[in-house]
Amino acid sequence: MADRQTNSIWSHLDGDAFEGPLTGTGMDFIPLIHTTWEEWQSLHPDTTVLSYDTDFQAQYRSVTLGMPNGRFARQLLTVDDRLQSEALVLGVMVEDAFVAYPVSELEQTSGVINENVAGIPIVVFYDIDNNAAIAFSRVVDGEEAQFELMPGDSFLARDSVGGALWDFEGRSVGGDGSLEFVTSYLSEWYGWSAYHPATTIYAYVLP
Amino acid sequence: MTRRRIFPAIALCIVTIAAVACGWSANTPAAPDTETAPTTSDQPLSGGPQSDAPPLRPPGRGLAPGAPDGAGRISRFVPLDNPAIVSAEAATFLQPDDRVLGLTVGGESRAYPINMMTFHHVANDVLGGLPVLVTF
Repeated sequence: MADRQTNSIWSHLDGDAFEGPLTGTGMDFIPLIHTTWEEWQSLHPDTTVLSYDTDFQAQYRSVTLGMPNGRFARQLLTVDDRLQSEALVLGVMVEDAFVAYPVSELEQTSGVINENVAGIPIVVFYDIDNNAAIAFSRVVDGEEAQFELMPGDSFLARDSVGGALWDFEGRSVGGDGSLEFVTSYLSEWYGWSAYHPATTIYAYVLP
Repeated sequence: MTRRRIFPAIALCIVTIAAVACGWSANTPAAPDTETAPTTSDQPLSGGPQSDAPPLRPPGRGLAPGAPDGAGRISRFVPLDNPAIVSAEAATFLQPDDRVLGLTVGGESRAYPINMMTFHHVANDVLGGLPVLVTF
């Protein structure tokens, strides 16, 4: 993508300008929740929504992510065939490390995975009901915590440091705290691997 | 952890990422920048399957595909510029299991439907008083 002020070219995945006057500039990530409309409303009942009423409404299509289509993958110069092109992954960036968590692997877990990436303790949340995934820092009140999924209708995880409950957005239930967002987003494999060829891939191992 | 490199000249630009990568970079058409604050509109929504409730903010300019930018590049993508927004109750065009990108800034929450973002790919918006860029 390009900015209109300088016509610099930016990576739309990582928010870095790599051509033009603003080359080398990075933009800040802010946490984005990629989930179902129903789940988003339950997290934020007062939310607004973009209106479908645009000049291009007739071209909006219902999209299913993770389904093989091959259309985009054919346009890439290189293909990383460690995973199927359209496989849905949670791409996680920590320091200079890139890890892909395939949804097919996340589905086998409890839904809460305590990890260490590049020496940084992180936790991955996977909400199987809404096919949503996100990553946060595992540091709570200055201490490294272990998280576990709590049984129930809504996604809640408890930390081992203070026993607090945290929702899918990393907000503490009944409190002011929030987990620090780790840059993470759902992507189809061909895109994630094209931009991050050195990415590793998480594989679930039975405990 | 998250990389924080805010260049002073674009200190107001914050990117939110949730991506199905297209594998190529899209150039957006250049146009005079507008800073439109959200306003309420008395005009009813016209057309479409949604409710008759007026939008909370009237539609932005929206640029047509194929519009050249200042450097003469043609974009095949149409960015959303300060898109029209409605309340959750008025969003009758969304099904419960439709996917959205949910963003909260400065206490204000907004959903960006995936069905729209797969077409526009880029939304230039203002949320909670901050200019934000949503890409898909």
